[in-house]
Amino acid sequence: MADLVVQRPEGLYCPPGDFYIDPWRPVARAVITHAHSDHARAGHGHYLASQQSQGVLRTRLGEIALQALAYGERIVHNGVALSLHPAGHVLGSAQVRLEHGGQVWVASGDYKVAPDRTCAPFEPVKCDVFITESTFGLPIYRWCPDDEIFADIDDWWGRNVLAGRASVLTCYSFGKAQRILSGVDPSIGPIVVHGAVEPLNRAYRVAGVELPETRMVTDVKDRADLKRALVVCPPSAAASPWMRRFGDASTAFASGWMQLRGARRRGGWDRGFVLSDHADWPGLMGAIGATGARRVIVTHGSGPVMVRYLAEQGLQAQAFDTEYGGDGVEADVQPEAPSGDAA
Amino acid sequence: MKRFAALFAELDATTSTNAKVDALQRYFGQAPAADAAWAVYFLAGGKPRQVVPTSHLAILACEVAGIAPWLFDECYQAVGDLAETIAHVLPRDSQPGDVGLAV
Repeated sequence: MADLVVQRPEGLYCPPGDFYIDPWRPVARAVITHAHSDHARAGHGHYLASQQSQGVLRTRLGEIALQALAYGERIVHNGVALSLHPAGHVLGSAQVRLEHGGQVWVASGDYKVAPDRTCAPFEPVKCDVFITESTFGLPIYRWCPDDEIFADIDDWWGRNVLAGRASVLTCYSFGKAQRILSGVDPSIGPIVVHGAVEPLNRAYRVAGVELPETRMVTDVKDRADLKRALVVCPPSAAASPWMRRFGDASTAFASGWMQLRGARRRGGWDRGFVLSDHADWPGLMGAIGATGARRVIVTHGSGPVMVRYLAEQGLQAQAFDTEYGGDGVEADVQPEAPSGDAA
Repeated sequence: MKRFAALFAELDATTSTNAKVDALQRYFGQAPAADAAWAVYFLAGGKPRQVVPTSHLAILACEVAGIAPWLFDECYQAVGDLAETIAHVLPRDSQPGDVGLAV
């Protein structure tokens, strides 16, 4: 039986349907799993994505020919039945389920299985072949519950308020920033966000996600407020003149990479909060098991490790080379790669 | 041991010398004398003579974590520190004990 998804120079391609999933080169028809810029690129002729991702996609890509599908809604294109299912990664993120000729394939995009107040929870989808990401595909990556991380962030912020220092928390502007905003205790002090974060906040609020009040730095009239503020910005801003106005601030980075001490020290952060929008090792293995798939194709991350491990578990495993996670945007997420091949 | 671990976490969590000095003052104000003496020894870079070979530690960690040695090696490649690798693969303790530093 012919494969429903194959690798092409443009991206992952569905031959019977004649469309791509998260292609990295311009194509006529693209199914987009989520709006992170290594997955949702500009220049495609036609976009198909989840209804919940419309706002963020347009915020990032402007006016595009976008067809939106509700989660679970089924369409048939060139004889391939396609539906989107929540991936729990960021607002609007979706797994792509394809059915054709008696086979079911699911492409996960990026996903996490732990609950997140800012997006629909990951939904296990039964399939014959599962295409999974592997960003944190090593047993050293195991996450703590969100509540513990948010308590740590609140504690750090509270201590900084007492010490009269701003708390600069760097993170990815889309997804991670909103998850942090929805999780911290806004009674501790004012929340200031970078210009890269606020447009995404707006898109989240329009989509019905509740976020605390956020201010741009130019809206803060009383300089003393800056010393009590939680400042949420992308890591690139932390190295820019934009940071000077906060003076002697405590800096932190929220990312799954912060699990490793070396990654945190090399970044020069005071604090690293281990908060990821990707599944940890137990999450990846649980998600793969729940699909019931006998064949698993591993994309970006710890591909070779996952392939070997899954083969040892008796699954038919292989890897796809993709261009996710390797561009400047992902470098922004992970300023210091702890290991070269773990992208 | 927990108090010393908390101190280490606190020292590790800041790049400010003042904050580190504060944390040290708090620790030495509270720690039992015997623990405090060992803490000085460790913080000054002291290392007791090796009791268990590191290769043995790695094998034990694989057994307790239930992972194959090749997978442990992959983890070590990513972490770059044996003790940290072991800490990250071991099951999280459900009944944490508290043993003094001077035991």
